[in-house]
Amino acid sequence: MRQLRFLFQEPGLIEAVVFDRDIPRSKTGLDTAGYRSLWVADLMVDYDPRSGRPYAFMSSSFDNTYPLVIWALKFHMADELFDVPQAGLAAVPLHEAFSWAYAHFVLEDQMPTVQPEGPSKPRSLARQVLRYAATTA
Amino acid sequence: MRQPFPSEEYITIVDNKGREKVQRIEFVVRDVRGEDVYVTADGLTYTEDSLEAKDQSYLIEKLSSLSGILTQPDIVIWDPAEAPGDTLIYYKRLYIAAFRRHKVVAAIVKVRRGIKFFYNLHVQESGKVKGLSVVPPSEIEVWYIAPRVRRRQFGL
Repeated sequence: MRQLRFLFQEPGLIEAVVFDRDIPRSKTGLDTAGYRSLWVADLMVDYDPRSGRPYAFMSSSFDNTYPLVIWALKFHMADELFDVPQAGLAAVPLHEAFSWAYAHFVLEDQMPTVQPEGPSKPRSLARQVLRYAATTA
Repeated sequence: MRQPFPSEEYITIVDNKGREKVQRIEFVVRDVRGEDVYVTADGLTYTEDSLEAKDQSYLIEKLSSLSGILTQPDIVIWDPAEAPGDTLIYYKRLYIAAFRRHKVVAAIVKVRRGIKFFYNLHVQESGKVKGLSVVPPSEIEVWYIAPRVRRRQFGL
């Protein structure tokens, strides 16, 4: 499974870079096509030319546009699961990973932790983040 | 490009929630319209970390060309994801020796309380500014375009 690493800069720039242990780093550097907007203007994606898969994501106004970004990821890019070691998350879709990033970097972990809604309903970070944001807007 | 005056060695950046963050200024660039852009230590460190993580270290040396990107851009637009007045994106084609060809590089500049500060540098898909294919080209506001450049070269 590919791994995701987040980078953040105040006040709201976030990037997520994918690491694939099966593909070694290039000696000359990765010659990608560059970022392009997908589905919403502030969700920019770059692709690894060796695998044809997305390998970097950027939202430069994530503190403002995160609901759109999270929904776009949920509807369009939920088919792959990632490990996110810096978050202690394993096998999560992108919208869950980005929801953790919003809670951690933008809210600075001040969002109260919500208990699972039931044994058959695992806790959804995206749902918590969007609900919290709606109540504090 | 110049060193910051003693009175501007530190800059306070206010986020959308009104929180203040103090950052140190490394140098100041006067952009294509003669306006100061503050380059912070955090901005440079972030950009280097980001390029390294993306296996695009060949662009780190282009940070020394940041002044050229800001003073002689091909085109500058207001970020279509934000309200006009919030974020400018400076685009310029740069020669990348490792690949023996040009790439479009974007420098993001945030505007907070009238102060412009460098935010990030990244590779942009050639021929398309941010937001194209998502936002109608007529809704993308051009802040500056070089005399030799045509809007359609950037998809507009």
